[in-house]
Amino acid sequence: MNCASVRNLLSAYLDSELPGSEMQQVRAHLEECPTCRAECDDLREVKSLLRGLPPCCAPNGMEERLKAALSQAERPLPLRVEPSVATGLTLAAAAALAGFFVYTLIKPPTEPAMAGEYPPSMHRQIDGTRDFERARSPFSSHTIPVSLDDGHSGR
Amino acid sequence: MVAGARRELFESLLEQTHQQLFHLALRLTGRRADAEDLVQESFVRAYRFFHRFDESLPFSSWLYRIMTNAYIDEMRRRGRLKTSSLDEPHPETGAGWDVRDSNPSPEAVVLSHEMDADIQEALNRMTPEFRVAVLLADMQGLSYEEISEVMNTSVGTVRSRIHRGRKQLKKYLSAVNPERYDRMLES
Repeated sequence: MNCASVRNLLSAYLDSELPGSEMQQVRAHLEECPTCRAECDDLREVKSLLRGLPPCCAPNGMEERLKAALSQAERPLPLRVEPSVATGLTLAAAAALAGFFVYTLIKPPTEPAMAGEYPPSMHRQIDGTRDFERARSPFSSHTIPVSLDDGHSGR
Repeated sequence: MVAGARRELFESLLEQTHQQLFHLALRLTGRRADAEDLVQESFVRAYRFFHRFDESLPFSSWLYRIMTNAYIDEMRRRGRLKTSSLDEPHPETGAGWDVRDSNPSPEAVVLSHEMDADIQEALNRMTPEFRVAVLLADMQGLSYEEISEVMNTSVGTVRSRIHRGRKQLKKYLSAVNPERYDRMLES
């Protein structure tokens, strides 16, 4: 083994993490090479400095705070949507909603071929009954009031 | 396991391990507030995935894995905010840089008195992967095999990270205070 290969193995040698044959080869090299031996001693001292670091105490009350934080983990994770996706979805929904209302405003009135083609509520309008029907929104499960007589139809 | 018993078991494991986890977190982050945040994040993640914990393995090793992943993820996330010049190795030590506050908080000043500030600073200057490997080996006493499981990498990579990390640490200490450390390392 030359110096370069031994130096790469020095930490593993100090940690006894080399196979037996390599441990012996490194040990034999160190006995003959003062330069590699000095580097090995440096690394041993660094290891010793780290091992000698004093333990530090956790802050007061940390254990209680940790236990309290576990309650967070018991709640279901919020649905995370990337900001760009969320913006895109919002814009698409707004555009669809706007399109729907524009369509209802400009839609030309259709002439019924027969009175029986209208639902009962429309009969009331045709008869001059000013009424509001509750129509189902296509974008939610809620119902919204929609005037079937919006001032445009029939004029 | 019913929810109450699960919570009770987890809290018992938390009581046994939170001190040693805080010790590691403090050496990883260098700040008490950051360390507590990291410990909390780790326990919350662990509790959320407690059903996946293999009880035949040590709970602390599983927590180390969760913590080191959380820590390295966070450091990488912060790393994306770095300028390219900070990615250059330290001119004196050759170690990778970490983003550090230019004005240490009063808490950091207190901490520097509690710790050996030179060693902590040397640790702070290491790349996160080197720091984790060195601390797990030298402070927590894990074997290379255990570290490779915690860090989800090969034993060869662990060996390399520990060796390079120790060399960086030695180089930094010799540069920052040659009188103190060279004499110590020569003795």
